[in-house]
Amino acid sequence: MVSLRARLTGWLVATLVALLALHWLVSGMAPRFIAQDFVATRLEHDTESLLAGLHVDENGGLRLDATHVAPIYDRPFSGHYFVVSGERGEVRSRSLYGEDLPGRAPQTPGVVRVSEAWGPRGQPLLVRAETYVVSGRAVGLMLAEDLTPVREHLARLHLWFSAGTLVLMGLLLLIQSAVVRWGLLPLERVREDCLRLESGEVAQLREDVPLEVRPLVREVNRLLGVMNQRLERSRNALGNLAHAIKTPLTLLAHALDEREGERLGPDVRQGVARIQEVVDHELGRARLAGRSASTERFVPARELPDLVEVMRRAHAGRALDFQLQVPEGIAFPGDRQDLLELFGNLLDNAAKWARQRVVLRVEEGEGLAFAVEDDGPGIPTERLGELSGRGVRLDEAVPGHGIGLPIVREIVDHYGGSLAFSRSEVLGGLRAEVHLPADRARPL
Amino acid sequence: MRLLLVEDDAPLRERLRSGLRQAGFAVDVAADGFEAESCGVAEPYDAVVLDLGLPGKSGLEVLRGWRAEGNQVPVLVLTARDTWSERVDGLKAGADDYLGKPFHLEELVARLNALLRRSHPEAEASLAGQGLRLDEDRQVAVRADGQVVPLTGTEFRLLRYLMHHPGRVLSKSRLSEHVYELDEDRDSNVIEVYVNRLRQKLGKDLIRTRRGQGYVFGERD
Repeated sequence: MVSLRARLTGWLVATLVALLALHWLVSGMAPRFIAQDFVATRLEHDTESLLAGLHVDENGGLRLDATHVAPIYDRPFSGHYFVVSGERGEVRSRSLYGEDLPGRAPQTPGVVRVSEAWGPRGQPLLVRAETYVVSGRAVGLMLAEDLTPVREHLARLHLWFSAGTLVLMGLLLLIQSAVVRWGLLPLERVREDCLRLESGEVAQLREDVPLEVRPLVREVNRLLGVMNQRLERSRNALGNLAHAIKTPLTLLAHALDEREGERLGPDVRQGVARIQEVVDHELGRARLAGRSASTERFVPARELPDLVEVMRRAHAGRALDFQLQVPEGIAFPGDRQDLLELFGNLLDNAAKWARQRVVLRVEEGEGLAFAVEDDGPGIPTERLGELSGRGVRLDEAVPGHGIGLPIVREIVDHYGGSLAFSRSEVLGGLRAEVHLPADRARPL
Repeated sequence: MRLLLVEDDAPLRERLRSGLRQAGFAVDVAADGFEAESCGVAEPYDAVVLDLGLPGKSGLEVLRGWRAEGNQVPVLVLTARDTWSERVDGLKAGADDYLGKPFHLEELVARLNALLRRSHPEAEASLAGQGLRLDEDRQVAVRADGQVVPLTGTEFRLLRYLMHHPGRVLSKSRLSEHVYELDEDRDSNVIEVYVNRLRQKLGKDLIRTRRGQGYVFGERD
């Protein structure tokens, strides 16, 4: 699974770290070069100053005018040194205190060599060496300066800079993650909306979403509309079909009632009864919406009291006691018609066989779980299995029990649930137990 | 007892009409929702048999319309769809009972009788008090000693209506409204004749005359 937020954050962090590292490297090196240049320029100026105080006699002897030598060159190991070498002899700054500078000036006049080298007492030096022609003779001038103070300065600067960079990076990362979260907030809303849609809390997705996902949301809404319309239309068509078939069937049944005893009776009567059965069963099946086609929520505490009232009236002649135990606050994502059909058929079946009492108890908990019990004769234990068996036509398996039971089986299967029959412990009759899982994403 | 039968299928309508007449009801018919709605408003029916799958206006809408106007006539709904959710919707719309197609005529009559008894719970007691029982299947009155008193169709309808409204003053025009169908020639003076016949068959005190007002059933001194 790819998370947009993880992807965005990952790439942004990588880019930011890479860029800041590059910045840190470049900014760390630049001052070094600048400082070296600066030191080299100072050495050049000192060289020129020395050169002005330098005299070479006809024998090639060197003489340096002390007024042209800065006092720093006299203090021992001050970090500022020079070596002037002529054809005969050389002059070293006092600061060298008898030591020498590494290397020699290049032979060719006019070539400048600037290099780093280790000097006395392990000082890191920047050495500038050039050969001049003074009074017709070649004189090599080598000046050096200790880089330690500059480097120390630079190191401190670099430390501060690094700390600053780190703080900046942390800040940027914080801002970035906030921006990513804020930017993806509308998507999060869409996601929550989808969850609400799934659980049946809303029937449509809200369309006040960012431009990028609006086509998607609209398409989902359109498909939902089409689906609901189709369900509605097919249910209407089925209703009309039922009306069209059953009205003449009623007429036929009445005509048969009038001709009772005539020869054509039994066959035709059986045929009509069979047609009725098939029509009832198949129309019942076709009407099922199933879990995936519906965005409705079924609230047992709201729907079941009315259904029980319908039951009381349907069995008004028999003074049956219907008991309904249903906790408030259960809302199951499922089609109202389907679920009323499920409850209705089980209750009706129980009522047909009950002597006095029918009890419907809805359990609290995940999904929808309930049991319908009656105090009727029940079913012998060895035949209970046949009722629960998958693929068994219940109306064939147990005569009388279950004109509505095959459709109960169909509905339970549609919702990926379970249906079990047993002997009622309390009432002694049949107990039907149904559990439908809440997870609507489950494949059917 | 006068019924309104609302059914769009003509052959079934005629068959039901004649069947219900034989069962001792005065029956008016309507073939679509609009006709049904106006009939239900205009005429004082004792019960309505209402098919839900009607052209024009659906049966449930018609029913809701009546209930919204405060018309409390008992309604038995006929439907081909026959789903439990439809029954619940029917109950909410104000239906009193429910019969899925196809059905047998006897079933319809039995349900209608039960419905009428439910809507007039005082009828049973009042009859028993008179030492009489009305056999709706055979359309006869039975005395306490088991003696059967045969009745003509109109006598049966009149007696049943009186029985369902014991102790109340019923005018001649009201009685004729509930005994005759819409297109029958209604002469309220004929009611007088039938009341007298019932008195002859069942006893003089059963139906008392309130001069200028009408009749009262089952008020014994």
